[in-house]
Amino acid sequence: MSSKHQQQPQSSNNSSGENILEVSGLRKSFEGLHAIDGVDLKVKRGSITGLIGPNGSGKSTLFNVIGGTIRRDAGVIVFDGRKIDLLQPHKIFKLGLGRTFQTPRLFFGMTVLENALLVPKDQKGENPLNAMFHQRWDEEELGNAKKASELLEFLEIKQLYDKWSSDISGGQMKLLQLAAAFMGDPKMLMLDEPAAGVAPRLARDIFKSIETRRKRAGTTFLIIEHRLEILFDFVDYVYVMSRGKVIAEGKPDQVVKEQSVIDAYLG
Amino acid sequence: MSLNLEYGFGGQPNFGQVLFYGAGAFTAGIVSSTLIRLYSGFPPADICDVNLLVQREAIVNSNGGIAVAIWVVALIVAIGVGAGAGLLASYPALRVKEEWYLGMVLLVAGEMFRIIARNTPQFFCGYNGLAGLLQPFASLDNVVSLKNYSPELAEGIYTAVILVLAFICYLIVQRMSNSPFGRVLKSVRDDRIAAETAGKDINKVRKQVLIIGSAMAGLAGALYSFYIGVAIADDYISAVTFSLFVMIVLGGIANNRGVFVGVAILTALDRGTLILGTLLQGVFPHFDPNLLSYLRYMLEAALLLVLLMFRPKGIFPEGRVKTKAYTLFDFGKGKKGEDETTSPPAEKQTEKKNEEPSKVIEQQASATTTKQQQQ
Repeated sequence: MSSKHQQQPQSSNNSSGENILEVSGLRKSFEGLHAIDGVDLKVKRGSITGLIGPNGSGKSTLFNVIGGTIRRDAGVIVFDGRKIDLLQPHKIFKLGLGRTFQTPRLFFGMTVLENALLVPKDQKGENPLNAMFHQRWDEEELGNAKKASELLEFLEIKQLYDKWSSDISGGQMKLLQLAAAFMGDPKMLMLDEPAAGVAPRLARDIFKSIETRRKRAGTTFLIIEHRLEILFDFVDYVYVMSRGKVIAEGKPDQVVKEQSVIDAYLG
Repeated sequence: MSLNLEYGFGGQPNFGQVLFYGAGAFTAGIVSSTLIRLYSGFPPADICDVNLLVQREAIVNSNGGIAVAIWVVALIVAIGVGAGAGLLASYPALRVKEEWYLGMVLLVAGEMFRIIARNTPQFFCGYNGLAGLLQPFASLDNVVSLKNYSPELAEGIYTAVILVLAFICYLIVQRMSNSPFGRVLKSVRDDRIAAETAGKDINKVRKQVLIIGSAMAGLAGALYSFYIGVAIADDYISAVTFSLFVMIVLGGIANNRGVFVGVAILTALDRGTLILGTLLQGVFPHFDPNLLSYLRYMLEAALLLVLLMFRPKGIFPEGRVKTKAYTLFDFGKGKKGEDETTSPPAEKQTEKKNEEPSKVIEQQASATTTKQQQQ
C-alpha cells in the first residue's frame, strides 16, 4: 500500500474549508427504487478519495446527482462552500467541479483535438459575434492547443489528434475523456472508472498522472474504480456503497477487512 | 445555410424553417408597401388594395434611389423580425428535452403561420397574397438606352445582389462554424448531457443558433418576395422546409460547401423538370407539364435514398473545425490545415521531444495554480 494513506478526511466536525465536497442526507429514487438512500459523504480538499462498491450500488447515480445531471429528491450538496444541489450541470462545472463518465461520452462529430479544446472555460470564441473575427480568439486558441498538445502527448494519444473520436478504441476514449477533463482546470474531478478498458501499465500511468495533478495543482479527486489493486495504491480514503447506502468508509486497508464490505462484494 | 447552422451544426431540427422564411417575406412586403406610400405623401392605406398596386409600381419605377433605400430598410426589418421569431421559437426549444419534439413544435408553428396568413386578409392579404413588390432596381428597365442593351438588366442585377448576400451568409456561417462557437454547437448536437457537464449552457446555445438561423431565413424570405414580386401564403408550405433538408443532406450535413452543392442539385432538378415539361408539351400538345413537378419530388426522394445508402454523410462529409489550433499539430506532417501558410508558433519549434510525462503534468499544474492564484 502507498504511504500516502495518512492523508485522510477528518470526522464530521470538519469545516467546509477543509472539505471541498460535503454531501448529507442525499436521496434519489427511480419509481420506488432507492438508488441513493441517505448518503453522507465528505471529500477533503486536495485528497484522492475512492468510491467503491458492487455493480448497481448507486455510485454512478451519486456522481450524476452531484454533477447536476439528475436532480436529487432530498439532501444537501455543498461544493467549495456553495450549495449546488439545485444548480444546472454547466454552472456546477464553472464552479470547478468536473466529471467523466463510466461509458465515455465524447462528441463523435469532432476530432480528438476538438474534444479536448471544447472544455476550457469561457473561451472568447464561444460568443457568436466574436466567433466571426478569429483575431479576437486566435491567441487563446493557440494557448489551449499547446495545453492540449502536452496532455494528449502525455496520455499517448497525440498521434490521434485529427481522428474522429468515434474512430478510436474504448481505452483511447477513456484517455481522451481524462485529457478533456484536465483541460477544464477543475478544482475537483469525479472520475467514473478512469482505468476501465485500459491496459494495466497505462491504467497505472493514469493514476500516476492523477496523483501528480493532485500534488501540483491541488486538484481533488473522487474516483469510482473496480480495479482495486490499482486504486488502493493511490487513494487516501475510501467510501464503500451498497444498495444506495454508504456501508463503510476509512483507509483502504481497513475498509477491505470490514465484514459489511466483504458481504456486499460476495453477496 | 441557416438551416445547416441550426440542424447541421447545432442539431436543432427546425422543421418550421418556412415560418421564419415566410415571416421575412411578408414583413418585407408590408414594410416596403407602407413606406412607398408614406414617402410619396399618401397616407398608409390598405396594402392589399389592388387599385394601389399600379400606384406603388409607378413610384418605384420613377424613383430608383428611394426604391433601393426602402428595399434595404425592408430587408433589415425582415432580418429583425426573423430573429425575433427565432427568439420566440427558442422558448419551446428550451422546454423540450428531445430535439425532435422541437422539430414537431416548429413544424406545426410553420403550418399555423401559413393557415393564418392565408385566412387573414387584414394583415397578409389572404389567399391572393401581397402583390406588387417590385425589385429595387426595376427603374433601370425604364432607361431606354440600358433597356436596349440588356432587356432584363434589373433582374440580372438583383440576382447578382442575391448571390453576393448569399456569399456573405456563407462566410458568416463558415466563420462561426470554424471557431470555438462551432465546437460548442457540435457538442450540443452530439451529446447534450456531455456538453452540459463540459460547462456549456445548452439553452443559451440553442437560443443563439435559432436567432441567427431565423434572421438569415428572414433575409432569404425577403429577398425571395422581392424577386417574385409577391408574398403569398401558399408559397410557404412545409414541403419547402423539407426540400431545404434534402439539400443539406445531399450536399453534406455540417458542410457549408456541401450546402451549395445540394442547393445547385435541387435547383437544377426543379428547373430541369420545368424545361423538360415545356419541351414535352411542344412535342405532345396534350401533355400536362404539371405532371413533371411530381416527378421532381420523386426524383428528389430517389436521389436521397441512393445517397443515404451509398454515401450517408452526403457528397461532402462533415469536416473538422478549422482553427489555428491545428497549426500546432499539422506542422511538418503534410496535413492540410486552414492556415497552411502559417508558420508554427515559436513554442512549437522549441518543444522538447519525449518529455517526461510527470514534467508535462507538473508544467500544466503549475500553470493552473498560477492562473488560480491570479484569479
